[in-house]
Amino acid sequence: MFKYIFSLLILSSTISVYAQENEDNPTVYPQRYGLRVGTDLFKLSRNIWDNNYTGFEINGDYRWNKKVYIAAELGRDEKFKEEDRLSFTTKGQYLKIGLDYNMHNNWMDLENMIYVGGRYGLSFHEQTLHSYKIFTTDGYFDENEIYPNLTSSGLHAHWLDLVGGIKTRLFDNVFMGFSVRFSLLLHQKQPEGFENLYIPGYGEKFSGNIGASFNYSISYFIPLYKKTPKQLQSQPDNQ
Amino acid sequence: MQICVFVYLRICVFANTRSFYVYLHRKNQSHFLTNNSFMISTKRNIIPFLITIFFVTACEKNDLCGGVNVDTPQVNIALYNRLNNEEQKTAQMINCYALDYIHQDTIPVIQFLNRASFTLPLKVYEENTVWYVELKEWIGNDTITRANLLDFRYETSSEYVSKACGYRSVFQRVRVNSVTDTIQHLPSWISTLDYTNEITTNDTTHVQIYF
Repeated sequence: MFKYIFSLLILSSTISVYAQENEDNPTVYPQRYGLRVGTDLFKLSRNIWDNNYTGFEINGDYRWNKKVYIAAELGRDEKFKEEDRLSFTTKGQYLKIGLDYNMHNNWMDLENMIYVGGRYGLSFHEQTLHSYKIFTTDGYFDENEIYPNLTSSGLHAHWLDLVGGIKTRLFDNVFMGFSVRFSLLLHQKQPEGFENLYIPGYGEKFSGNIGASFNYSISYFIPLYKKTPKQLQSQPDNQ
Repeated sequence: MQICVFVYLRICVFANTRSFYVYLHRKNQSHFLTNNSFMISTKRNIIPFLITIFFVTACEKNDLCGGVNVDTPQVNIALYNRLNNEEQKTAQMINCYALDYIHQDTIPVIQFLNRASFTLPLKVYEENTVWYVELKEWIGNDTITRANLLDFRYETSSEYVSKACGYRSVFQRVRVNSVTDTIQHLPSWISTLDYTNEITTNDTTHVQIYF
């Protein structure tokens, strides 16, 4: 059961968001700019609870302006999978690079994010076919398993991600976030006589070109400079 | 293709937040004290949220194996009249078993009744399969039983189909020989036969037997 369905209660975070509306109080809060570096907690924890996985991801973003962050993820996956009729291991590196757009107006000096973003992702990997069974429908002869242990290297894949997520400051410069992403596979180099069934960074490859994944990240913010906004963001007063 | 990723994202918007006023008070004390209308004016515009990400359930793979020629082809054998090569001929009863099972207590026999064609599988992990093929006919009160061995020699190669189906085998350099029955020493029934050199699809005839 665990192989197919896993449920996680990892993060239950609260973000308190406030809207500033008071014209009488022109307090301007300087915005912090800097680099945020973190890791994916889901991948990290998976090393412990999934015997068939090793890997990690380093992610980071750099605040470009008030709303836009340049974001990137760099990581390594090694995944063994046993299907009904074959088993294989994929291992390799990946890089995803793109932008996050913060749609959320922070109140005062809070630094929370509710964002959407896009990434271009690429992976370089190799895939080993460990075993397979030949699909016969007669049922007359016994079914054997073949163990070719054939490694195809020099494989690569390119895809686009649509990301949506939240990030919140837990304390000091430590942030936690959750994101969901949908991936569109653009191009891939497949192993000969086989198929890319798992792509590092992209995840499991289904028969279509669409994939989905999620991530729980914890990151540390390295403040570089502060910028004071010219005008205070204000909400219209409905009174 | 089906991917299921269920994200339960619960967003609760609440408007009271006593703690918010305490926070305001601390942050902006002088203003709080001087402006009486502040409490009222802010109350409407405060949008504090509580975002709770509840849990993520992901279920893997739902790809199913299906389609034409996704499995290893079997040998399709058609029966023809030896006196008229164009005419299909129906056999009353054909019993077949592979010689691999001959020393077993129970031999798995495949039986075909009143058929002008029948299908036999080949071993995919070896390059030689021998079938014992017995023909039974009832003419008047007599039962005539004749038999032949069909000796298939071939080369196999694996072909990738899909994740759900895995691999299938195809057969190349196929040679089929009809041999006289050395098991029960019954008379032969097969006159001649034709065959294709390759067995790669399920929907074509591979062997023609004339009897």
